[in-house]
Amino acid sequence: MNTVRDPDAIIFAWLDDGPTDLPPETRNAIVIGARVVRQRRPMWLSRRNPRMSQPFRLATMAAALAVVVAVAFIAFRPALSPGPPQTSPSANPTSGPSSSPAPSRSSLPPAAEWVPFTSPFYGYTIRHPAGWDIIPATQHYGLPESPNLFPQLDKLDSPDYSLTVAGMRLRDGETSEAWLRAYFGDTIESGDACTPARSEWDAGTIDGQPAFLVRTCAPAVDTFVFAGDRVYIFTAWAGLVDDRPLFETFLSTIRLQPASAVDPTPTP
Amino acid sequence: MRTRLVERARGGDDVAFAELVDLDGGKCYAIAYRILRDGERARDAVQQAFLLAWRDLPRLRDPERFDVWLHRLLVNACYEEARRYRRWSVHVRVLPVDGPGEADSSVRVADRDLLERAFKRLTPEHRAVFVLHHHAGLPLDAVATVVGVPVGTVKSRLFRATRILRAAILADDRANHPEELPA
Repeated sequence: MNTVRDPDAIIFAWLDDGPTDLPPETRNAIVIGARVVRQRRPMWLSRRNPRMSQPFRLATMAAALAVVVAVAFIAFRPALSPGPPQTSPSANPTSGPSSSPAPSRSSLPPAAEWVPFTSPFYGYTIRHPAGWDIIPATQHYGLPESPNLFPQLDKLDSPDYSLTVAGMRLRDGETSEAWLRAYFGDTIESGDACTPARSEWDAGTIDGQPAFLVRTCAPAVDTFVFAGDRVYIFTAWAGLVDDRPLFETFLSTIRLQPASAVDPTPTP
Repeated sequence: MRTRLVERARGGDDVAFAELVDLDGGKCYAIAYRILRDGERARDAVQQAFLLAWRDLPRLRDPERFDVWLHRLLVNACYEEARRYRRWSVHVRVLPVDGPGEADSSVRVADRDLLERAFKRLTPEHRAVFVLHHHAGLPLDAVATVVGVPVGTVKSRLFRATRILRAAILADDRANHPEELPA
């Protein structure tokens, strides 16, 4: 004889099914990764060396003071010349309200002094402050055999700001509109819990090409740019998420070179 | 003990951090697996969450908040994994989806299949709320803190997720035993 089943009991039994132990290889990958990944230390938390001698400590303090004075001088001196690019001349997205500046923005050198980075795969150049950690992609974006996204991104990193970039060639005949719809799926117009509705995206241009800025729940700001037969995704992380003027300054330094992009060799 | 481990890890002690991974790794993996329903992506999400935690631990001012903070990193990593899968599934359509291979057999295969399909129709945000509350046992206000939405939103997501899962089971039962179920 059949009986009426309790759906909640079935649901919770199903939910309890499944693994509860972290696989050892993942555990080891994390532990090894922690030995490689450098911790980001805020300015207010400095490491102390207990064995530092008194004279050396005083010399260190004097050096630190000199650095602070020099940085303050650079940050607050009057602008000597407009020097391209200062603020987003070519990035022209409709800016939404931005919150207060990120923690150490004043320590960034003027954009005119930034140095260029040219992507090995994706066909663009961007400028960034000297001294940032630059980790170019080693794999092409979207390759199915790699479950790890990180090797597929160009990463421009500093303690307070982070920017990642990926790109790909559109399929033959694929329009930017078709790509966006495929990327965002059915919720492109309505949005979902992680992505705002399309009507809330910011539109503009980057290096003269159409661009869309989308703030996601990551939290991050994805910027989609279409040039030639390619799409680029520039993503702001960390302090850049809430510092739109600074992010736009980065975007203004971008030069798109779709013809120089290197695409993966198709597998037979 | 645990707070001390967090403080040591925050100071750059990778041995203490490894102990935290041993303490919390299984729970995090269980949550990520149930949100993503995929072992490989769950492992990636856990790895990403812990490495982000290690990188930014010095910025965590209150070690007592480590659990909430780690859960938040984990949920965000799951969202990212889910988004990435969506991109690939759209453009490449080759990623395999783990089936019931990692689950035990206390639930009928047919029921599991129904629930898996119904669950995957939910957004990652709905899945996260459902798993954090019903599997990890977090109260609603804690879930709200972890996922960064108001409690009311948590309730509505829970309601929707539960309704969809119940509907999957009930629809199947109606199809098989229509005389035994209320209309």
